[in-house]
Amino acid sequence: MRGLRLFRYTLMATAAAVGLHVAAARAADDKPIVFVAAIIESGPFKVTDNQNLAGVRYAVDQINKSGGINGHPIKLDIVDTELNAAATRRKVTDAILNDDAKAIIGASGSDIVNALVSVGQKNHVPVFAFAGEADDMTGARFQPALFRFASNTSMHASAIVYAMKHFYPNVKKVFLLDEDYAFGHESEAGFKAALKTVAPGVEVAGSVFHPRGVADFSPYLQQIQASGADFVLTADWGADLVKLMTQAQSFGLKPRIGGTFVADPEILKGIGNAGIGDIGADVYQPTIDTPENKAFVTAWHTGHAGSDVPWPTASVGKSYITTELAAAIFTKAGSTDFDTVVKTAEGFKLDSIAGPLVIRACDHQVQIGQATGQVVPTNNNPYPFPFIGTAFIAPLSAIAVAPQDTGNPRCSSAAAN
Amino acid sequence: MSQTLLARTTAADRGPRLSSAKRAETAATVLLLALLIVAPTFVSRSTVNDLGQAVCLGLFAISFNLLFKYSGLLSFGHAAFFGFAAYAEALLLQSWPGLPLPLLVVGTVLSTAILGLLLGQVCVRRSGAYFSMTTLTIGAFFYAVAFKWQGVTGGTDGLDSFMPQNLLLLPRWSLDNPGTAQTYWLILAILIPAALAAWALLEWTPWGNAVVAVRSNEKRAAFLGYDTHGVKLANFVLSAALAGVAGALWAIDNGFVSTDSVDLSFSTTVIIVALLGGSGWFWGPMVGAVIYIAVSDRLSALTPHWQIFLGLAFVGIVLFAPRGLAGLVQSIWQRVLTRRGRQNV
Repeated sequence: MRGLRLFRYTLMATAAAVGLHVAAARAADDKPIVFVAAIIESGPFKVTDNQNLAGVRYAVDQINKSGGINGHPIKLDIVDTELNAAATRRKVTDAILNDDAKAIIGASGSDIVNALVSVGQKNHVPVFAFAGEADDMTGARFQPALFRFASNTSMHASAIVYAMKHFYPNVKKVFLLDEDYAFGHESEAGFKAALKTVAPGVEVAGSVFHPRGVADFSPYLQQIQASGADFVLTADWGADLVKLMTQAQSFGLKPRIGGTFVADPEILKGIGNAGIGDIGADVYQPTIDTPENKAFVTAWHTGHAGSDVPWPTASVGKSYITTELAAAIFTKAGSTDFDTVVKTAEGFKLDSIAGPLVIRACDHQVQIGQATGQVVPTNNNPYPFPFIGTAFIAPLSAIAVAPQDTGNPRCSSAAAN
Repeated sequence: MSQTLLARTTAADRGPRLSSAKRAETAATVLLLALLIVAPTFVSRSTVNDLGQAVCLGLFAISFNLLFKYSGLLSFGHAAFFGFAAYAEALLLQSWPGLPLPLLVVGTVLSTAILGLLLGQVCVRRSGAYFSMTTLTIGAFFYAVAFKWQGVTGGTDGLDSFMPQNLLLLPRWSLDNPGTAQTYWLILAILIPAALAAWALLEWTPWGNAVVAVRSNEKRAAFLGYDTHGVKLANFVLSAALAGVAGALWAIDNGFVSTDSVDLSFSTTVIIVALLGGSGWFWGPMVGAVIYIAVSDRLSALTPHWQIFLGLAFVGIVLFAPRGLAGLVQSIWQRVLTRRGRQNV
């Protein structure tokens, strides 16, 4: 009797131990992989990053619904960058140390992306950038931790010039108008280089840098008119771009504008018809005319009607694809080990909603054509205000920066080989 | 400065310096520094990571407070010195990565002190709002330089890819591993002696008394024979040098430098930090920095409107505890002592 009881207890204990082991093993299998998203969550630029955050969240939801990364769900940590590099560095490092984050997704602002790269490099965590376009990030200042889906300044400028040639084939003279700081200067150089390669017959009638936050554009508009230019190229953004476009209309400026950030609904929704005829370009546009993208746009609208971002924007698309790309790389790598992920990512290909893309191995810059478009009246686009019409794709062959021209020593040797 | 006059002032000020309040302040200083040193043994790595930033910010706030508390000068552009040092160190390291750490820090701090000497000649000629406006202008100028001189400062992209490789006596230590006690203790190894030297100079030497005397009544101090301009200038240079130490360590801790470190809003942040901790106590700003980083990080994780709550907390402290948190603790402690004394009677 006593022996039977002992046997029964032993059996129960064994069953409990096996059960616990199985549960623990399952828990280990289901252990989430933490992605940290560096987003502006406070201050005046929060509006811009709301779109990016929505794109990242949507991608994570979709990936988790379809089984996560090899069975592991993605857990999203969101940190507020405050648009401050030191705060970003501190908070993202904390997320890595506390939650064992395995990937960093971000971020608006080249200095913020640089801070993320510094953290990623030190902690051996890859950074997947949906913004931050400074050329030298994947060029002379290359660091292996960074993989950039956002185009660089040169590619972006080339796409605008390519679109100008497509939509306005008779343009003979352009005027370059940019903000007087690092990005403005880099963009101007990008436009000049792109004009030489993409539109060799077009000459620069004049160029000027203006201070950021300028209230009155009339002196610059007069310069544009006096120069005889028939098109304006600009990398202005935010309030400056809104003022430029609205004041250009009031002024009666004839040349249309090709702008790096024209295709942003946050810009276009407030300026009425002032933007009609202007052109923009980015890696993604909701008006890309493919069945995959149309399905994405419909699905997005179904899930986000009534929200702040009822239709996908360029920012939504970029942050969505960046997150999708990161997850796909981790899935293929079958590991979260930094070196394995980096090795897997180099040369990685993905069929995204923006089209097929590849991560160039030598500089980790994503190579993809750019979606350009002309602002058209309300009835021809998804938005209740004039927006970019059906996208015209500037092919990669026309806008890519050759490896030897990146300034990245790895690319020079790769090109030589 | 006449030795006799200095000795007289010193003798006059020595009395209260030996008071029980002074002893309590010293004990609090020892306790604070000991806590900072041993913290990595009982807190998480992420807290150590935050503490690294907090002590750098704390030293910067102390440097601001050298002018505010001891000379009565409110600087609105103190980030100029902090940012200058951070950029100087980044540029030095990019040119000579093998430069030994002590030499690097000394070089950076000396260059910042020289900058302080040059700018101080202009700034300390005026006091009150005029001094504040002059420093504000200088701060704006340095921000513009960092923002526009892209070829040197990297403009809005900033500078990165620099890290001291030569730690001399600590060949096996590395600054490449964030959140570890190694990085943090290396920062403290430079920070604490620098801060202690400034503390000793201002709180325990006749020169500190001279600085306070000039602040209290500049005309009388001049009649007593003090070179009031020289005293204020020397304190300005000391403050700039200490901001330089903070900037140099901040750059090492972050591994990059951006325009944020020389931004005018950073000059404002340091005022908030100093007043939050308590400008009346030399180490108050250090306490303020630790609390500021901890609270702002946690608040920002809870709500996107965290700056409103932080602002309200700051207004509350200014209204109800104008001597900052250190002053609040001090007054509570004194009340406790007084109550105990009454009970004993």
